[in-house]
Amino acid sequence: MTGPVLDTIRDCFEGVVPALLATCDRNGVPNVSLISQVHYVDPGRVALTYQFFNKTRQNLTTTRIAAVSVFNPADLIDYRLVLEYEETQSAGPIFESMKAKLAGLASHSGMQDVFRLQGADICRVRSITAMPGVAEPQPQVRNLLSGVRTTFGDLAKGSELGELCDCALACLRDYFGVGHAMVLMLDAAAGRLFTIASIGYAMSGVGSELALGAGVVGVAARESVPIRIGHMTSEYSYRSTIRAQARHRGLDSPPATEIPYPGLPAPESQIALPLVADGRVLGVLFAESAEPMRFRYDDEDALALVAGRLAELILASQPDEPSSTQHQPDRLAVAATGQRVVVRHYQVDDSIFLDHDYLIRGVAGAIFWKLACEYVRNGRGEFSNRELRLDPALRLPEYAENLEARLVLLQRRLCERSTIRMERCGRGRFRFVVPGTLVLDEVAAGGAR
Amino acid sequence: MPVRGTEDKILTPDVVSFCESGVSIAMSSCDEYGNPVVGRALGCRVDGSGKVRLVLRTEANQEVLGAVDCNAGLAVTFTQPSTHRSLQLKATCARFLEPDPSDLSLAEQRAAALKVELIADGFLAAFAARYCAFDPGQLAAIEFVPTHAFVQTPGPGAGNPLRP
Repeated sequence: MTGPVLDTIRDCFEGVVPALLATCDRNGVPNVSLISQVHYVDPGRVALTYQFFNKTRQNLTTTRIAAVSVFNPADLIDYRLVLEYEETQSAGPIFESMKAKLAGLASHSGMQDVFRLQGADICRVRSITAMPGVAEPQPQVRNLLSGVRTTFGDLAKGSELGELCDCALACLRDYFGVGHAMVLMLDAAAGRLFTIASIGYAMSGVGSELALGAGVVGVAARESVPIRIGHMTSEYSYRSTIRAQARHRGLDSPPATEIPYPGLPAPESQIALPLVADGRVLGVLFAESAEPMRFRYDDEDALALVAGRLAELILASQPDEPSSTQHQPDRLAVAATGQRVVVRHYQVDDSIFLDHDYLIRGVAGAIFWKLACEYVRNGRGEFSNRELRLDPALRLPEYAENLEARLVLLQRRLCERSTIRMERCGRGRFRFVVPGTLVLDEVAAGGAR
Repeated sequence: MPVRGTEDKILTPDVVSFCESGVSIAMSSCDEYGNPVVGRALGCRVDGSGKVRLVLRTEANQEVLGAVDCNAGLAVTFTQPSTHRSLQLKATCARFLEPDPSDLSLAEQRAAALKVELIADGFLAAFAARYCAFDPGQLAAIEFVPTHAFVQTPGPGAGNPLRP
């Protein structure tokens, strides 16, 4: 029978029971202390939190050997690990992942003013020994591997960005028991993430934005690493992030052009998985729960696989765009009957209001304004992705999925906020459908019309 | 202020009372190769002559018992889960003893007290009970006279000598 391996005892590292860390100095004088977090790095390594320069830390960096006792809350077994110190990392994915988790643990135990991560001490695991005891395995709530396989099968049926994101979120709900989740896409040029799909919230929040580096989503995108918190802390909460963003702009409340972020009012657990494909972060798959410690290491692995697959499919779904000579844009007679909608475009930030109601801004706003102008002035109702991509006035970011994400965002905001529709009519083409009359009102940067 | 034992600057009434309460007890020693070994004790009692006696599970602490038997030093950290208050006692040597009947009642009392602490700190009763459980036939004792004491409560002061 083989001994325990690191992968199978990862519940020990959730911080439910504090770990014990023993070291010796060069003269063999022992030292023992509790340690906030032992973090699973890979099948051969863990990382210890370095918070203060104390005797433990001095011994660890001098002798490079430590003994750790970790208690597994799942099977109630005490495991002893012998560790060999390798290096300290004070930035990067492992550090950020530990920092977020430590902030959660600190907040949970009232130590938020004390616990501050200075470094992640990376250690190789020399041995793992299970202490005698009767293991009491917890009943398995769900089969994550089966959930991943079924999700991959469902995702394979999707063919475009919006559909893929909706499918991934439905799979999280149906196969992983995740009640609240969203997909956010990254606008790398603007350093922001915007929601393009969500599930489980009273309001979809499509179009709501977060800054890169803010909250678990922003850190996951910036560092390209999963971020997971089992006890929520204000340091990573969106409500405080959003308040801070408003304060930064000198505002007491969010402006009218800010779409409310949909998140749970009091989440305890959050997980953010970067959507990485072709070596780039495209966005973030995010899930949350009011239940503490809802997402464990195994959940992180499963959802990371889903996120990776979703990212690959998003890239692969970018339409092969026909050249402009193959398809001439249709000319449609503009319906002059029905509802009259005033479209106001503010040049300063490309924000769009439909009859005084905010719709969208930024690149998606500029796209809408172009569609509306073409529709009203030239009677056009059909457009290709390619012509939008080639239009220098739209200032599109570099990658194909950026346009696609804006189109999904715009399409969804229109569905939520108006009767205007954008309907697909072939690969890389869509129809702009207006059940009435549009009246254009452009406001220049200085306020002139 | 009256204190017990010869190391009167260490074992103040406050320290003794703390170590004898429902605290978690971590131990470490140094094996024959100079490597640290770690263990967990069940309970602590300080006698009138200044000796600190720990009762512990034998099977789960073979390494610490073996190191102590080879005259290695001992470090013991006492922590109250709900407050994070923590202190460390150190001794240059310790004795590995067969348990006497009083050790069983000591283990029972301290385990019950720790269980109350853990439940107060938010752990489920079933988990706390299992965490504090032990086999009465598998107990050992360690006795030592502390030579140094340190503050171990998390924060910048951790590691400073404990002052009465």
